[in-house]
Amino acid sequence: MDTQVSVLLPIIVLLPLLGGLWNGLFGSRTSRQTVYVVGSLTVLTSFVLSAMVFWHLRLAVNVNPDAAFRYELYHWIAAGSYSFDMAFLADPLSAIMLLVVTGVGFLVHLYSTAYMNDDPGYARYFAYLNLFVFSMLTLVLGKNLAMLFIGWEGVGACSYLLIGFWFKDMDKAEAGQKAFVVNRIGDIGFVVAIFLLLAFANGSVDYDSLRAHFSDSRHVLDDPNTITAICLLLFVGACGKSAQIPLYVWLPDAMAGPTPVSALIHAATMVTAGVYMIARLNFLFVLSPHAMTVVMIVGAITAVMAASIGLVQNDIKKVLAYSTVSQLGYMFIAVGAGAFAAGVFHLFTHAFFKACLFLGAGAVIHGLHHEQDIRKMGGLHAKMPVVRWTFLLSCIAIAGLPPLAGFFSKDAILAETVALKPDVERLEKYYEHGFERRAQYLAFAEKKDGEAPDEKAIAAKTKEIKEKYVASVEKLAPLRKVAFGLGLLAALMTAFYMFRLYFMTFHGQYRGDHHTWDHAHDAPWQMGLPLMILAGLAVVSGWLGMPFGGGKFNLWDKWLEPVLARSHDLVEGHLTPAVEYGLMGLSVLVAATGVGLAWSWYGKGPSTQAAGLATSLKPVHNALLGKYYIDELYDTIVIRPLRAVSQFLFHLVDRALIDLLAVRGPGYALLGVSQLGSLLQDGNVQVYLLGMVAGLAMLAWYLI
Amino acid sequence: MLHDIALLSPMIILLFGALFTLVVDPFLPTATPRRFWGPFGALISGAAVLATAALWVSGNHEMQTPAFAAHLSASRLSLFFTALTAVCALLTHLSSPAFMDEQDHGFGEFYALLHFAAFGMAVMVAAESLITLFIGLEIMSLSVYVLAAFKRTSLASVEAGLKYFIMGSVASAMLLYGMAFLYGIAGGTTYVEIQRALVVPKPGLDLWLGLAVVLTMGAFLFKVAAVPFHMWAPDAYEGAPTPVAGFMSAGVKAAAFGALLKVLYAALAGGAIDSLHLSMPKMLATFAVVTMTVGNIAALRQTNAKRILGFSAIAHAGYLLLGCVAWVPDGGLGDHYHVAGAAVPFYLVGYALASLAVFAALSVVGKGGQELTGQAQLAGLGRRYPLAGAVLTLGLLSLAGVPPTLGFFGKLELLHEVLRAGDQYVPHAVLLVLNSVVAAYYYLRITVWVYMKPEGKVEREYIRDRSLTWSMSLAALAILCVGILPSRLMRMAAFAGGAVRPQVARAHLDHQLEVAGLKPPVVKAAATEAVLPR
Amino acid sequence: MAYDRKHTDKSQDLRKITAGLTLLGGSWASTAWAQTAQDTPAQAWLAALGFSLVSLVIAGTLLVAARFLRVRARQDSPLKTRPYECGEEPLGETRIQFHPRYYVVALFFVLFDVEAAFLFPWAVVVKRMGGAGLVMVGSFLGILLLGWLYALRKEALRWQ
Repeated sequence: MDTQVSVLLPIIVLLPLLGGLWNGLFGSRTSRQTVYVVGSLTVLTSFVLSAMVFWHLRLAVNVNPDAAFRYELYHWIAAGSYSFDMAFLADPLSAIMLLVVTGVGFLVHLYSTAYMNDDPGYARYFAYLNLFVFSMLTLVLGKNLAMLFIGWEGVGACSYLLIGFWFKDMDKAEAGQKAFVVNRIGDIGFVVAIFLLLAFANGSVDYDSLRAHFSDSRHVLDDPNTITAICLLLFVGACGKSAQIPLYVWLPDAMAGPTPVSALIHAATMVTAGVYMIARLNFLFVLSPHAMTVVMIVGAITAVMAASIGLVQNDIKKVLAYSTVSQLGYMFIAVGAGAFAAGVFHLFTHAFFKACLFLGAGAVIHGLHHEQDIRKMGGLHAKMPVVRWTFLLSCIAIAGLPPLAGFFSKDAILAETVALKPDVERLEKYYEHGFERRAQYLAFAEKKDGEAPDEKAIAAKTKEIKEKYVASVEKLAPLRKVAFGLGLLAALMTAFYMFRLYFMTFHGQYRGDHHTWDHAHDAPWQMGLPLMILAGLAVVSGWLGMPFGGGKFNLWDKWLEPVLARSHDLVEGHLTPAVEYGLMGLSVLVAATGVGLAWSWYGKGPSTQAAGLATSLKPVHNALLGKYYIDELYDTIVIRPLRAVSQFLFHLVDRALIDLLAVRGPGYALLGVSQLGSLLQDGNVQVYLLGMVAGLAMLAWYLI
Repeated sequence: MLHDIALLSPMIILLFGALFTLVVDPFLPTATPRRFWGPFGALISGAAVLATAALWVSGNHEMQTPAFAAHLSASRLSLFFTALTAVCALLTHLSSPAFMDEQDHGFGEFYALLHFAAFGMAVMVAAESLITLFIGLEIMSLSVYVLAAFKRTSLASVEAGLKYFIMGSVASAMLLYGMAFLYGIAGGTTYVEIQRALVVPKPGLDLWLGLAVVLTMGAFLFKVAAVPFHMWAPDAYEGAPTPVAGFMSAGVKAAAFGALLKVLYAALAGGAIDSLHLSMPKMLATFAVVTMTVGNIAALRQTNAKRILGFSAIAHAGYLLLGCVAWVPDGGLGDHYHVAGAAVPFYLVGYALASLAVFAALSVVGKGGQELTGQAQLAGLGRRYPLAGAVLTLGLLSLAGVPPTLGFFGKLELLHEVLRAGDQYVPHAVLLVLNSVVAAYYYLRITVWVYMKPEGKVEREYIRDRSLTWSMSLAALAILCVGILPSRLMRMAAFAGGAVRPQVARAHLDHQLEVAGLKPPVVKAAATEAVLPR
Repeated sequence: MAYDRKHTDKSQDLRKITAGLTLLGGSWASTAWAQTAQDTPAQAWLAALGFSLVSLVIAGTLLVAARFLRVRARQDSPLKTRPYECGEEPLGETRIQFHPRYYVVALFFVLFDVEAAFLFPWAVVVKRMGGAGLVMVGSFLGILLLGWLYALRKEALRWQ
């Protein structure tokens, strides 16, 4: 039976590809309906098949906890000492991702049929969207890091194409390019990490073999620093894709794309790829508490920073974008703290409520004829009841009020952040060989005349190294409290800005022009249905991870247990029920405070209090409005110097050598710079030859 | 004798094509359009590819025997590169007719010269002696000079050809001079003789050997357009008719690297070179890094697609040079060979196909005798001519090394090989990666022009032609298909690389194939003897 | 200049081709024949005799052909009063532009000169190389001939 189910995996992946190719090649020649049907139906079929896979996996897991479906399409490359397979893996983790990608993917397709209906490029749009789903499925279903990387690049390319979808607007095209370039920076880290893994781990980057490899310490990779380096490089890649500091700058700009795209790619799926990757490689990351802490702290800072920017933004999509960055930060807090299940749980719930929020925002924008400024909205609850109610539910969910989804996932993250700590003893044991070898090396290096150091010295050295390591791991513990504090702060801000957004949009008086108001309309059914489904999921999806009863009802953790077993070996910790309930109360209190503040300041439209606060804290307000001037900073320290170097070379090589000599030379000669000019005019080939002679001289200098 | 001729069959086919075209063309009425020579040339080149494939498949290791008194050989390396250059010729034959007709220069000689150039390339890579190498090189170069200047009414084209010719003549002179020294040292011109002469260091010859190496390498660095021998390249690429520029960047580069590999590893190897303490790998690596960096940085500010690609060709020459270094693990060129060698041939295939695809797609703008490849002029191409836009994008992605294109695996393999060659190349490898990131920027810029720039008021016309479409589609398909299933080509490339010095490489190659789960080829003991001096 | 255009019509091409073919074919045939000869003294003498016969025939053919093929000024032409019947006037500035046709002629001269240079060493070893050598030189000359044919069709040999 397993093999039969496995066959579904390539079909799930390839169906959207076929749809994308069809629409890309023939879409412009077929009717709109055909494009919609082909685009949506392929993804829907994939979703149904995914559900079948999920169901069978459930049955299989009941029998054998380690069950997973694997399918090898073909042997891809086998060259030298490394090999990649085109192979798929559906284990509990990827099964969940599969459902999210195809499920939300289908809803967004459905939504887009209405949203993009009057756009001339609808065929192109659906082709890209299908290709995106294909790439994302490759990413989550791939059986090895190479497949993940292909999907990773694929989603990047699709995202680039979709951000720049309305490319006639130069800003939007440039936003696409910015996303691409920033992602490439992250990709360098990722590629180097893959290479290092290839080099150190037997030339295979298959998850199964990597996991086996890192379960046993008797191999070359038993040095904690190397593992930390690899993990950090991987995290650089994750930073790029999942928009973390310092590479988050592309995501807010990515809002230039069509709104359903923002919902699918820049909220629910692609941007969570970094989280997925770290959760996937949990067996590797847990070996390096230092790298994990970096992940956690970067996540925490990102969460607070993005949330604070979100406090003052006035563009409905920008608020949501910063909210996404902030929530992604949350997920990184979780995976950094070792709470991989909680991180993926938040990914899961976030996919629903954030997609719902984006689609709701899209419906508002659509209904108001492309108005995105919330200062020109207000009172829309009367015009758009469906949008308003679904939006409200999602806001409650993201703010973290019980019993909606966000409460459970956020609470799980905060609780585990303080509860967990690395199991130093086991780590010590894992690195035993590494420590000893380092000690041998150091002892040998200290001895002068190459005589062999005695056993005693080595043992002492080993002990010293070990103690140093343990101490450095212990030192990381307080940082968890910092992350917890930042997380709580971010939760407060989140509750506030989300409800500020909600109140500004749907309550108070309408602040735009009357023409738009008269034409404002609720979402048509193709848009309303996805909103309702997603809002429903935003309500119920959290119940999968009930924290009560000592984990007895926590279906989520139980489901992911086989994937995360190794991490549970190396990270430990429990909270007493009292502390746990206390934390829960605290986070509810924080969320309620945020909502309350938003209500008092924005409940009936923007109040004078809010405006007064903004004026009295002008510098802070400006910094937030200006997004901490990070874009400007990058422009100054990275882009301009690069441009300057390029400019310099341009002037030197192009202007001076080629332009001046070959093109301008004759002109100057005519203008009376006769001597120099005429020298240069017929001199250009001579200059080239001079270059050759210089080259020969260099060669000779090297060789003779 | 007959055996020798069988080995030559690809070259004979190409030569036949050249002569047939040349002689029959004048007898055709002047009014007859000469467009059909394109598909005819493609057939001929295709036949040459088939002949090469037959020789390859026949798998007879006697084939590795040098033919014509050890002046030519049909080793796997020769065959691999012969096939590659013939494929370049094939695609160029398909992409040029419509373009040349639009430029009012669709003469029969154009196609004959293409054949001659391909023939010269084949001779060059099959050469086992300096004389044959030089003859091949000159046949190729002279044909390409004329091809570059073929649009004789265009100043740019004539300038391109003339500059290329003048610089090329100097390079040829250098090569000849270097060869003369080598001949003086070795007392023979075949690679085997040279290698035999260099086995033992001879006192008093160091200076002459050094001079010989400097001059020979200088000429090769010119042919592959390495900095600072590169200055002709951007002008020549920009001025030459677009399909010719594609042929130059793909075919000439492939042939030059094929010949360079042979000269480096079949001729200039042995104890004498080691004893000189020549830091040849170090030198090549330095040139490689400088070349890729200069090429990439200079490309950043260009606004003409053809010129960008000229600089990009320089950058790729840098990558490939580094790949050549990777064949030597450490220091000298002694006996510790490490000929995995798949990287350079493999990379070249990817590079050549991508270049041809890009230039073919760029030639669609050559309507009515113009060549509008500037930034503003390319705007809207993606929408008005989706196929050209798509092929262009795919080719650029492959050049940039984005998966799942062939270029990605080329870079991967190259990087892998460079890293394997030794720790001293780690900085070079890092620079290679950084360079390819920089390069992605300007490749992307072209796609931005093509897809995202606002179109001007002028409704542009594009060349729409069946054989051009074929050329674009074939190149694009090859990039994609081989990108998705690269392992077969990789294996062939490993065979080719292993053929440079079979007697040394065999053991390593067998090991590598074994690791890859493939069966090592059965080798007769006699076959490995055959390449050694008799 | 008033050259006699009477003979420079298309029919001349054919004659030139015939002459060329005779020339190349004759030299090839004679050597082929010489090559087949055995090494006894009598046969060697016979070969020498044959060779001189063929040489005579070729030389004679050339002389006779020149008689018919030459381009010649009419008796009453002013050319007859000039220092040279053909070629440039040796008068005027030293820095004059030469017409490209001179280069073309020079190129042809070099080409066939080199051909001859290749034929001499071959002739020395012709016996030892046997049939293979014959085929090689045959194809060499054949290729050259094709080039010549091309030049002819392109009217590169016409003095206008």
